[in-house]
Amino acid sequence: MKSIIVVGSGVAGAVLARQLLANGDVQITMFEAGPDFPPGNRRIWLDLLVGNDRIYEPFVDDPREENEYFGLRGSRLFMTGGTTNHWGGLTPRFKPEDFELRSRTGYGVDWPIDYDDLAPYYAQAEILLGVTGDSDNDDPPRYGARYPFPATAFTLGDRVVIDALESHGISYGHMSIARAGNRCITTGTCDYCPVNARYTALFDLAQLQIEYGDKLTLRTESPVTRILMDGKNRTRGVEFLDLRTGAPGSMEAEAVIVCAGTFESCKLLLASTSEDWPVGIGNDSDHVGRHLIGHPVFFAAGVRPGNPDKIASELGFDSLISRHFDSPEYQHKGKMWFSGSAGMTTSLEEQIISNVSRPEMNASLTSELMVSLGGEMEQFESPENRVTLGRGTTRHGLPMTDIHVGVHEINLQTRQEHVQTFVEILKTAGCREDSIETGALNPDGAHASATCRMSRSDANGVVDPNLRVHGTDNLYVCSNAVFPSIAAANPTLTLAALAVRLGEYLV
Amino acid sequence: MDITLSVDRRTLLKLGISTGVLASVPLAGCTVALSTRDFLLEFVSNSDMPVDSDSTGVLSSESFEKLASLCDYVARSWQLPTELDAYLGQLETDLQLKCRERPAYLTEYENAVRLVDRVRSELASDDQSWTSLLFAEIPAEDLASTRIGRARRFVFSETIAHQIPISGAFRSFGLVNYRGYFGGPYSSAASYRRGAV
Ligand SMILES: Cc1cc2nc3c(=O)[nH]c(=O)nc-3n(C[C@H](O)[C@H](O)[C@H](O)COP(=O)(O)OP(=O)(O)OC[C@H]3O[C@@H](n4cnc5c(N)ncnc54)[C@H](O)[C@@H]3O)c2cc1C
Ligand code: SF4
Repeated sequence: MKSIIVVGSGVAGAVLARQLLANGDVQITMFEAGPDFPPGNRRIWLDLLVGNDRIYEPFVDDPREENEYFGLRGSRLFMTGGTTNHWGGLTPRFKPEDFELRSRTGYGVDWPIDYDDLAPYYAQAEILLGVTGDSDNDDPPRYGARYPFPATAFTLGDRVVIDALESHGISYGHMSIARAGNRCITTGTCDYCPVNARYTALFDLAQLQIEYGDKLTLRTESPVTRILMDGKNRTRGVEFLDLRTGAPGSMEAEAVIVCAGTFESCKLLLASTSEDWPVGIGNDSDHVGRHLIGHPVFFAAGVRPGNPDKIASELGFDSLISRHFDSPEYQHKGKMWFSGSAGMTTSLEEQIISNVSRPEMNASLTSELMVSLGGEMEQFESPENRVTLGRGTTRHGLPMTDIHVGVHEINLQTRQEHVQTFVEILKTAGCREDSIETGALNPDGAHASATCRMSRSDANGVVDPNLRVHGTDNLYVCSNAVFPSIAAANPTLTLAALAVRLGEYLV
Repeated sequence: MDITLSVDRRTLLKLGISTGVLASVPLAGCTVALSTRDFLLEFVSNSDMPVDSDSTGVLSSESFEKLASLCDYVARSWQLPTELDAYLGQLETDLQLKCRERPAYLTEYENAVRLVDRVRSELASDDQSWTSLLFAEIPAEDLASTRIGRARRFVFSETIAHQIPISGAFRSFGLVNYRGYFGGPYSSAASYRRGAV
């Protein structure tokens, strides 16, 4: 039986553990810095329902970790299941051109693998994450793979946006989204799903523990502080801290897989210095922590007079996506996808609490409609965008994070063009020009990537195409950190596909 | 000496309640004694957590009835369905859960009941009492930290935010599904309104 240490219990760790346990004779110990949390608990759900945004407060970064760019507080979560506890569950695949960024645009680097290498693993990841989607949409190509669950039908509100898109000749489709279609009961409180339909690694791990018993040991509140090496090439295990007792400990294993997210994965390599690795494991060519990228996001909303159908947001999650601008033609400027829908300007309960009378509520429901669009775009990397170890320790027992943002190559002009496109769509949807508001945000930690990027040789990156840290035999990183570029699409399905692929490689 | 309570939007916004649409107050102002005003404005806490959130326990049925009368007031005043028996059973289960488990709401609920009693004892009807408790403008430096401010935030607003989806009250507006309502399988045509394509 092979002993394996997994650092981090997010989706990367959970999907990888499932692959290893299903296909190999392995004993996994998973270290998690944060505490445990119950899935599908009515009390927690009630707190979320009534507008209590504190449910994840114990698990976010402390305020010292705030940054203007790549703000961490509120993006990642330190707890069993990691950041999927509050993710959106949107699971578009990357497109073939995304793996060839350098060749096609001159920006960044190409991936050392291509779309076709990953296509079969995308299909497996879609099954593991319970993705709903349109199996007949072949952009990007599906090679016959069916989604495990059919697409979510468009809402009445989507129709308003769709009509405007059609007038502009902008293509659209069904959002693919990670919620087990046989369990979802359209509650719309997906930040904490009462029935565990929306994928979380939290619930996935609970299932794994039932399925595989003591072949999987989860050690919560146990941040790994250092990777131990035997000479230059072999890891022999990890050092960790037991936050409950304050006692340090160590554990040996035949392989260590770091699934600690984009910031902590590179920080753990940087913190694990030795005579053989004086500036951190895998960092002889100074790529660990560099090339940090994320998704700039932007949005626009406007109010349209008249709502005879009383359109309101009945579903609570996205069912429409346009990848029209997420295409090879826009790649050199910064491609983007967007979603949108229409609904009431204010919730019913807010109106009652504000003492709006029933006749006025009825009138406002039929007299106006808010149409909103939101998208995210590809950011091109810069080696100046960098993560290093900060001074001091966080409340989850990890080193503080320093983030350096040098040349920040968001293509600002393209972002402005994309926002202007939104404005035109809203005008076509009938929104009053003076009601349209737009906004744009710098990338935060949510989709941050590339701090341990994948490359063929250690001169250009940190891990090889099998995610093994260059120069080592048995140390791996599985995280958005290994992405050489970020594409426009959300990262997690691609991460899950890489985890499936790594699991297959290891057993 | 008496004072007149009237409604102010900014006061509500300061409590963290945002709204894009606000009408003028449809309900008449009510009058309470100054001593009651002082009681309402007593400082309780400025914490974002319920006070005494470690004090778990059981909410008495008498207290529950008093809080539940808010739902009846809301249902009648906003012409929502008034057959609330099934819903109130669920509300009681959920409020008891919030008293039994940490962070416990028991003390916030009991404080709110005291306030309901006090204002009700001075006004002519339940409706007048709820109108004042929910909407009265009470000039104060830090209203959110007072008895009335906390009751509005932790008890009254949260109860209304529970009632609209869980009781299915939103359906009276012609909607089929709503955030927090178990609308049914996503693949079922009955669970939400579709936009034909
Ligand atoms: C608000 C929000 C919405 C999002 N929505 C989407 C979406 O719709 N679609 C999408 O594709 N992506 C989305 N994302 C991104 C998505 O959540 C991440 O891509 C994904 O969760 C990353 O998974 P991970 O396992 O790599 O990292 P994480 O989920 O962050 O897990 C890492 C785990 O490792 C633990 N850890 C860290 N360091 C150590 C250590 N030294 N020792 C022990 N444990 C450690 C952490 O506590 C954490 O639990 C969203 C993110 C946010 C913040
Ligand atoms: S809409 Fe579906 S996935 Fe979201 S909370 Fe409800 S049941 Fe869960």
